[in-house]
Amino acid sequence: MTKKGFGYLFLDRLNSYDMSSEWLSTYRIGFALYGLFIFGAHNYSWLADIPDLLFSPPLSLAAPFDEFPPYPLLVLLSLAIVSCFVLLLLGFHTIWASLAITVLLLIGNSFKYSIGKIDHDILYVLCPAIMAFSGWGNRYSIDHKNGRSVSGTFPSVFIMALLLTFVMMTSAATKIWTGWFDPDIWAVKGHLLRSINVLEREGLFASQLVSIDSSFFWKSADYLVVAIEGFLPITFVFPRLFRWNIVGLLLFHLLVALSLGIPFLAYFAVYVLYFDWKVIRQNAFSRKIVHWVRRLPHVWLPWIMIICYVQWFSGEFWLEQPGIMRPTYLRLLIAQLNINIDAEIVLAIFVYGATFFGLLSIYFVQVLKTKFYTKDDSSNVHQ
Amino acid sequence: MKKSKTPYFITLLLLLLLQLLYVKLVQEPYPAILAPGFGVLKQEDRMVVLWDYKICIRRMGQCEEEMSLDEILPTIPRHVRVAVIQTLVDRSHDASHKEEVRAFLKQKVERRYGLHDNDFITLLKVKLLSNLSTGRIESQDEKELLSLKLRQ
Repeated sequence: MTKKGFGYLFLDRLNSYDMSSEWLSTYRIGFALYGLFIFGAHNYSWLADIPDLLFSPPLSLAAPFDEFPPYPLLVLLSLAIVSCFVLLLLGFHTIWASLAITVLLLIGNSFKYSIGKIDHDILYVLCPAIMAFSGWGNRYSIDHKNGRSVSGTFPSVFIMALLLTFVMMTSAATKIWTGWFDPDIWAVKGHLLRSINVLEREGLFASQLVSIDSSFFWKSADYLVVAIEGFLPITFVFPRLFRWNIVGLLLFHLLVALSLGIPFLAYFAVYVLYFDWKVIRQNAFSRKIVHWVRRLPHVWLPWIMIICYVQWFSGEFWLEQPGIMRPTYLRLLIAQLNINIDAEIVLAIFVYGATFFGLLSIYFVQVLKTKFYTKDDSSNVHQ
Repeated sequence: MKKSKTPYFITLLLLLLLQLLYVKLVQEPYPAILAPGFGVLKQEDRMVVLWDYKICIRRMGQCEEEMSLDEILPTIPRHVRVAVIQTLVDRSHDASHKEEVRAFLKQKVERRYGLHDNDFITLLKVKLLSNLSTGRIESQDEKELLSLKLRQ
């Protein structure tokens, strides 16, 4: 096979990850809205209540320090993150706002993970910095109105896909290495029992699932989990299949929230990048949202800032519930409903469930439209 | 003309593999680019082995009061508490931090239950065997990780 032929079959295929400025800018708006109002901007102020005795940082930006930062500094850090997300939403100094979000989150998380546990939300943290030079601020932004734009040749979408593939590969490899394929082991059920008995964390269907005593069911679950994560290195070189693999990941996270009660919301913001934007942009509802945001005038900037600051402070002072690390109006509302389920799990089921079924229906409608359109077209030709 | 992605692909892949090697051989830094592995939990004879923690206030050798992790670490999110308990145990074995650990636990106990002269606080690591078919806990075994006299 010639060099050119090999390149076409493998690496040149990766050009299919490229996206237009319009789509990237739509994604920027979606990322910022998600970061502000659904996933929520991080609040680090609760770290000030933890005794310095428990300060045990890994190799990180917190390593040179001996104690947690004081409360005012943690509040300032949290508010700076909120401010940068608002700037990103409106596309005001987009590159600097994107880089600042990543740097501030890295600083805050370094202290947050100094109490002994590192959460693996790294792709959400790195995403704004990697996307900064993609040209995601070139449209629907104050920068665009002011004539500030970047060339947009940096392959951010491709790099994020590679990182996501690598991350999922490490997870699948650990599972295979430790014996998830062993026919005598029920790995998923083991984790389900740990969730219920040790972590006191239950998904909606946890108790029903515990009573299932079928080897076929639990081994299928084990294989399915490894397959969804482990297929990414293969689908990575086929961008169209990669997008379908991402839809599979949405279903995977929905099932994990329903069973194990793990609300892994951070990566949703990354998965969104690989939705079929061409199809979604044709949808009336998404067109309306983008139309609304792109028409926001400069004068709205301070008002949006205020709305977001009020959201942050309402989480800080009205809700005396530990673990509200990313206050949002939505979380506050769910917490007020007094339902017997963790607000975070409700949010995860809503986000992953609505998106999975929403996407499927949008794609389905699109397929039907294309089919009927083609039929009409061909019948006209015949006539 | 589109730029080739080959240099990015090769450079990034090498860097990612190098950082993974560091994580596996030395320790996990922050940031590190990997996902939680959820390795298999030990299973023997259709039982899954689970590890939990229990905190007891002992008077005259008896476990008089059992404290929950909620009482000891109220501001820390639940899924992080197991890791924090381990940090607390490690610190108690370190001579320079032992008194700090004692003061921290003493304050928690005193506020909730009052304090007697011979009160000890004990942290136990509990081994639970849960039946994979029924989900029921069938046995448990406790191992003492830490025992401190609260009033010196």
